[in-house]
Amino acid sequence: MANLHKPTTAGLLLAVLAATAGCATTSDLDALRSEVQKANATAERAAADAASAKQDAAAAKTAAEKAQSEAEETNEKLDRMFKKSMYK
Amino acid sequence: MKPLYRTLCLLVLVALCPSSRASEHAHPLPKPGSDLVGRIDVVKAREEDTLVDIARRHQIGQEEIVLANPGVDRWYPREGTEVILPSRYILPSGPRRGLVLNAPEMRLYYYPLPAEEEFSQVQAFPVAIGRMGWETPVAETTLVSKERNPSWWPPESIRREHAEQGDPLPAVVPPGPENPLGRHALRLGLPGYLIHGTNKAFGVGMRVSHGCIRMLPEDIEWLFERIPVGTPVRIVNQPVKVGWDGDVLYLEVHPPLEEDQVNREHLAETVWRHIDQAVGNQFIVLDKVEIQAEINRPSGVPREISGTLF
Repeated sequence: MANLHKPTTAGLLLAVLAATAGCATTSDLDALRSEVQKANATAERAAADAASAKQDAAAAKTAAEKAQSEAEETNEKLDRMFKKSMYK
Repeated sequence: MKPLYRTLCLLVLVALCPSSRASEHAHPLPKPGSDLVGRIDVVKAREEDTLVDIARRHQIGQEEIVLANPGVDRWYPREGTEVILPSRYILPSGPRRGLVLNAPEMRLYYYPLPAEEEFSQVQAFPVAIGRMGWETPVAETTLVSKERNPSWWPPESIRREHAEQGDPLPAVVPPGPENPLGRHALRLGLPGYLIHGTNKAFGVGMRVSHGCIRMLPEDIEWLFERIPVGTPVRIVNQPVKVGWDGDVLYLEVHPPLEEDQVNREHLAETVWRHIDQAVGNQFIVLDKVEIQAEINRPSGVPREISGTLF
C-alpha cells in the first residue's frame, strides 16, 4: 500500500504547487497526471503480482505438505505390511 | 583383578571365539553402583540398504533402530547416511541373574553364572514378543526344558485365527524351513510359552508373535548351547529405566506397551518417579530439557540427564 500512496501523494503535491505557483500549463498537468496514473497502474500490477505470488507460494506449501503427508502414509503402510508379514 | 584388565581379558576372549556371533552381545557387568553396558556405534548406509537390512546385519531389533534414528527413512536411508546402532543399555532394575526380558524394550538379558576364573558378563539379545491381544505375560518363571529341531503344535486359538484368515494350519508343523520355531526352543514354566528361534529373522525386535519370545537364529543357537535348564526367568515391563554410569545419570525410555494405555503425562510421572528414586538424597543438577525431550519422543537410547552448574 505504501507504493500506491507515494505517486498519488507526489501527484497531489505537484498539482497543488502548480495551481498555487501558476507557472504550469494544462499540458504539463495532463502529462503529470498521466505519469501518476502510469505509476499507479504499475503499483497496482505489482500488488496483484505479489498477491498472485503469495497464492502460488501458499499452493506450493499445501502441495508440499500433502506430498509429505502422503509419503508418511505410504511409509506407515509399508511398516504395517512389513510387520504383518512377520506374523507367524 | 583390576577392572580394566578384566575388561581387556573379556574382549580378547570374545575376539578369540569365532563360533559365537552372539558374543557380539556380550558386555562385562558394570561395577557395583553402575548400570550401563555397551556402546553406541554409527555406520554409514549403502545405497541398497534399508534400516531393516542394517538392523539384521548388526543384530539390532527392528523397532529400536527406527527409534534411534528418527530422521532416517526406514525404507530408503540413502547412501552415506549415518545410522546409529543403539547398543548401549541401562540394565533393567531387579536381580541380575538368569534371563531377564524387558517387554517394552524387546530385549532379553542373560546373566550367566560365571565359572571359576571367568568374568561376570551380560548378554543382551533383541527379541520379538507377543502382539496386541497375544501379550507376552509379565511373570517370574524358570526354564524347564530345551528342544532341538522342535515340531510346532499350533494351539487351537492360533489355528482358528489362521483358518479365519483363509490360511489354515496343520495340526503339527514338522522341523524345517516352514517351522516358525526355527531350530531351537526353550520351554518356560509358563504353559505354552517358549523362547525359540524363527524362520522370519527380520521380525525380531517387533511385536509380532503370539506371546512367545523369538530370537535371531544365531542368538538362540548360542543361548541354547549354554543356558542350563532351571535358569530363572523374569519377564518385566520397564519402559522407563534410570541408571548411573559413574557419577553421570542416564535416562532410557521405550514406548510403553499399547495395552498399558500410558499417556504422556503418565509417562512423565513415571520418569520423574524413577529419577527421584535414583537420585535419592544426592545433590545433582538435572537437565530438564533432555528429560522432556525423551518423554516427548522416546529414543530407547540412554540419554545423559545430569549436568553441571556451570
